[in-house]
Amino acid sequence: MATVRLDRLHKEFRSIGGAVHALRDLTLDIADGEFVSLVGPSGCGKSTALRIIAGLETPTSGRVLFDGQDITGLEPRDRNIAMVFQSYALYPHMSVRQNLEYGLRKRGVPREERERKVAAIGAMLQITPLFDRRPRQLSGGQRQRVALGRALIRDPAVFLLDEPLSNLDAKLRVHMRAELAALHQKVRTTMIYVTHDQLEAMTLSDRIIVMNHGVMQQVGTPEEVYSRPANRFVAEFIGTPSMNMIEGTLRPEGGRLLFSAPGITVPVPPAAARQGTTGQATLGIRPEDISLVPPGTPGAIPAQVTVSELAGAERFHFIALNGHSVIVRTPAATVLHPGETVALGLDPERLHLFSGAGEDAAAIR
Amino acid sequence: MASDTPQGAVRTFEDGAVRERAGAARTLASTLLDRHLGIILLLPSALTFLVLLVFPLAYGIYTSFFERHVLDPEGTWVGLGNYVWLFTNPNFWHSLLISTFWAGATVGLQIVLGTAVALLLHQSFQGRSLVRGLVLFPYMMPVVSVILVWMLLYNALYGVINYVLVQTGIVSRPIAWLSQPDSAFWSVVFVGVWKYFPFVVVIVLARLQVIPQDLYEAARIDGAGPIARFFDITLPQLRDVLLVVALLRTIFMFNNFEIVFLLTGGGPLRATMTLPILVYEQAFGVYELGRGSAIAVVMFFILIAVMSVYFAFLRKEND
Repeated sequence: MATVRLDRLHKEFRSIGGAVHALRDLTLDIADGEFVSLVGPSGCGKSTALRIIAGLETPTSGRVLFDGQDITGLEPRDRNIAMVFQSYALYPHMSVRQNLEYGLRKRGVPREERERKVAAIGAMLQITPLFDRRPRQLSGGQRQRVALGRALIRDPAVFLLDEPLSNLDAKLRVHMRAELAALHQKVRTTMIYVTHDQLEAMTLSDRIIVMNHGVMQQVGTPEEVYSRPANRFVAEFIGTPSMNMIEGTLRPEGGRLLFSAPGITVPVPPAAARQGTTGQATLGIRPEDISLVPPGTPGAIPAQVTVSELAGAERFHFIALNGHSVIVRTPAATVLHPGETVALGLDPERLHLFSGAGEDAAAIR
Repeated sequence: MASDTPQGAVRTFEDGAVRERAGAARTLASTLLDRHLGIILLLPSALTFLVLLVFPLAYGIYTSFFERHVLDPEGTWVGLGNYVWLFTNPNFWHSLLISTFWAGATVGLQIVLGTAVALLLHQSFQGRSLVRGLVLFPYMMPVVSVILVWMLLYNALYGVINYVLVQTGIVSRPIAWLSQPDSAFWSVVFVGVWKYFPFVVVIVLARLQVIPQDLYEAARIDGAGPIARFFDITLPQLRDVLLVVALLRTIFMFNNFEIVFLLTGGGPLRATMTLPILVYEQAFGVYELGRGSAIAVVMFFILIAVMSVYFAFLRKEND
């Protein structure tokens, strides 16, 4: 087990077309035993960061420290890390048992100890009956477990996982996600998890690092990044369906600050208003924070239903609101028909305001 | 499953329509077509196969039971006479041995050299595409030109090889590469390897490019150095193509005629007299077509045996 510190990590890939900045000044402290996720769209630099921690990639500048020791120049095998790959990367010509013990063998662990550890891992992950099979004779979930076993067997200080669930079907993914969480509870090793799936990051992590274009956008607990996104990108990336965004302006009126867009005028919550930002702004509101209110309610916004989708226990209504399209989440029992006119109520306490209109527009709190 | 019903309905409708139109008046031709459509479709390729492959093979085996030469084109039936002559003739056993050494040495060296070069060309360096193209050069050159070039290189009086060796003091006198039994055999092997190793390079390089990079990274993390990664990842991943290459090259080199024949004609003192040259010597040197055929038939069965071993091995692997 170890603490991990990333100190101003920077990575450039140079090619004939010029340099690509995969990672810009990433600084991060990860506590011993913590489960953190790096999440973001493809090309956001999350995998590059993980590969630098693994030693598979050298940073252009910056340092990686384990327990305060600089390990930036060390070979992967000298870092006491283990990694689970998206493709699992099991050695195809070796049996499950040989796959598990390969790392121990290369480190000169004596045979008796190897056998003991292999047996323990087999029992823990319930893969003992598969020991004599080759990877191609295993199902996706079994391969996943062997890959986890191969990583766990060496008792690494840091456990790196690169989108380990993305090759599984939806049902198995949910199952393995729960197993991963249980596994972390059991072994309590520092785990760094890379995913593009915000739901995996939300459910598994102690902390989430949201990244975009090689830049860290926000670090926080799942609750923090969901309920207090630092900017418009984080707000839209975290949560399904995405947060509704309405572009407009902030202007003072009668001693209050108002957000207005065509057909919508909302008072800004006092905390945000105290910052005194005016001008171009974006209003964000999560689909579950919009309510259907009786027509005529003061402050209600009239709108028209475009489409309604049933998603099991809940419904998503796509609603046209003076040229904007918003999604409203309701219980499945709320049935609305296309063309129907409804009145929407926005809870001023649950509004998010961002200064500007781009994806890097910062939150006004 | 849901789509079964509409499909079935359509089929019933069509059947009905056909029945209505044609009724019981189905011709014999259409019945034949219905029943034997598969065979009819296979016939053209089966016939081609028969004419181009089975007939010459069968004719060769047939000829091997006759004493037949230019003066007696009809031939005289001698039964297994040619085979008895063959198996009691020391020249045949000598040539079988030479052929085995020739095929073994050229194939073995082609695989070692080809794999080594493929590994080099798999690294990234400036001008890699150009070098990859140049490596194919020996394979693309016509055999006759290759042989002419090598005869000049090997030449005892004015060959470049001897010139360099003498000038650098490695040898004191020029070596008659192709005129001494030992050096002749290895000189011919060298040309065989040089001409055909690019074939191995191409196939191994293609395989190297599809080995997942993840495997190497996993091995690096597991603690494997470059040598361990070669033996634990690269070689096992290449194993299947190397087996196929070995089989293909063995068949090809065992049957190869032109390189040896053009360089040495089987000499000196039968040192390079492989079986194909022995066939040539019997069939067109002393005009014993029957004996030549008998040797060819024996070669055919030797290669069948090699292939059976290979396929048995492959089947065992897949189980």
